[in-house]
Amino acid sequence: MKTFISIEGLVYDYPARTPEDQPVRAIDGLDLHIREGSFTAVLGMNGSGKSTLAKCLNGLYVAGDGRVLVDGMDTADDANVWKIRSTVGMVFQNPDNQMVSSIVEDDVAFGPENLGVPSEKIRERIDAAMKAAGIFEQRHRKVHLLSGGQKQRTAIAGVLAMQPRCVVFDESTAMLDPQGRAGVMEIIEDLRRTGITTILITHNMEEAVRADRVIVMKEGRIILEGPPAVVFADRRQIEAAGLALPASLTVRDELIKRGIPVPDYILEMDALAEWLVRTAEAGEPDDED
Amino acid sequence: MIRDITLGQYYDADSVIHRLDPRVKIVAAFVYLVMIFFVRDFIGYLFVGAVLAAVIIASGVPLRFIARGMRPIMFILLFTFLINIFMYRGAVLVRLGPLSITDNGLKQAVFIALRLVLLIFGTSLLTYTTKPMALTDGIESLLRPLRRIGVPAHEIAMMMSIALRFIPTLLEETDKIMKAQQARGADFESGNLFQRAKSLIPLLIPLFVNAFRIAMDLAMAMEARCYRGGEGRTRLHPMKYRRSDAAAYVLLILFAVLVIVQSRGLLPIPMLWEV
Ligand SMILES: Nc1ncnc2c1ncn2[C@@H]1O[C@H](COP(=O)(O)OP(=O)(O)O)[C@@H](O)[C@H]1O
Ligand SMILES: [Mg+2]
Repeated sequence: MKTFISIEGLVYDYPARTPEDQPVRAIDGLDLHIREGSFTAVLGMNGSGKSTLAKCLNGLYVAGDGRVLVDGMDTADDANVWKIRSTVGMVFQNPDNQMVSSIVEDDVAFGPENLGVPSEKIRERIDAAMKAAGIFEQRHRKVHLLSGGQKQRTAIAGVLAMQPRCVVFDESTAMLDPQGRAGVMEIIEDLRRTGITTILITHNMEEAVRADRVIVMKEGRIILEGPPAVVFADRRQIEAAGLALPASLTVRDELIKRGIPVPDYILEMDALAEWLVRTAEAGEPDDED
Repeated sequence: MIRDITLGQYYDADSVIHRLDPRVKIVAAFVYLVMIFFVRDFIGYLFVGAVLAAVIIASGVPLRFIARGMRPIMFILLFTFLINIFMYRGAVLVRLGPLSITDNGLKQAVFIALRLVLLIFGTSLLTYTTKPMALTDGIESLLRPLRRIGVPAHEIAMMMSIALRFIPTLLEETDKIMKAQQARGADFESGNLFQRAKSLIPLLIPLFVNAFRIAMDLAMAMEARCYRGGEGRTRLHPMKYRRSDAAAYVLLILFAVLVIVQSRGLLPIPMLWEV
């Protein structure tokens, strides 16, 4: 598969707040290549530079040094800015603070309206987007009366209506209840099936293990990356990055310690439970020690 | 906590008036407002009142909804009525000690009260029959010709619709902060006016900070969704004048002409209780 986003030597500084202060280096020489259609999870402690990285991906922030190419377009080139922003959509953390209109469908239409899409085409686009995000039934409701999960679905629909090829979720599940989280994760799985590149910034390890690839950030750099099975195998680095293991892996470790040989490829709780049931039914291997 | 609040109130129905283009309704409300100040006698008020009643009936908004808009100004209404009734010289009708009610005073007071009632009823009908979004779209479109002299039409409309969108959010924030401060022993309800105003400071400062944070977040989200001002922007619900809108404009002109002609005494009917 071809590279969709390519980041080389990216540096981003926030300007100093007062003349005596130093500028804050949020991204410090970062290289990253993201393949088209892949699902990447980004982990890291607060302040490690995840949100800054996200904002560099669609040209909200422009690289201080190095460069960011989205589908071959340089984010530093002013001519590309609208094309890039509609190609790489962003869903933020707080659903309340990213909605512009009082009514669901009006808000979803905001992006296409800005892009100058003709009115009849806007209708088609937003209906498809609201269906994909599971908010179509609520389209005439007032946004402030929706649940957190429904608000985030509205925000996602608003991004999908721009017909992006990549969607970045910046801790978009953080403020939701478990049901709302599960809903957003389901949409992410759907996006992945339709070939949309997804990048999920999260503190939730159970969400991260579902990605194709996990990236761990610390102090503006990538300190660890690879498929979830490989990344979470490096217990020392995970700890160094200030992260916890997914609960499923903690359980797996315990099981292995007690002599139950759970294979490496099992990462998710569901898969673990399924494996245990299957093994137990298949004649109970020596679990007596 | 008031969760479902909007500026003005929209009464959801499907009437001729609801279906009119928002621009027609805004212009009509404006013209109506000016016309009320042309009226000089009882027949004029009767005519304007009858037209308003016809529009209210056509709109399908129940009268008690519209009358609700009167509640906050009841006090002002009574106050101006009382002031006016004692302020004019003329044939004395009733004497109350040093004060006296004259025929002119009574006429003035009744007319001013009528004027206020017609004003509130007429303008609240605008928000009852037009969705806030349509209202801001209408304002934007009507202000557009003024862009040449530097009126930021699109920005004004966008600010209004964002304000409408965030009123409930800020009310929720206020509620949250208030509860948090009360849990720490803050008291917003007792004390004299000055003490109460002072107790609002720990409420207002965090609210202000939050509002700023929301504004930053929102600006970022709007940019991420390709917002770049009104240039080249299309709309999901574009405004289009239809035949009924043209008819409404014609009726509106007819209304204005009749009011003006009548108030100048140019109609072959005598003025009644002129002031
Ligand atoms: N608007 C800003 N102004 C100045 N410094 C900032 C700003 N936003 C973030 N930073 C700093 O940049 C660093 C990275 O922040 P951020 O990208 O938000 O991290 P994360 O999303 O991983 O929590 C932090 O040290 C943070 O303090
Ligand atoms: Mg962040």
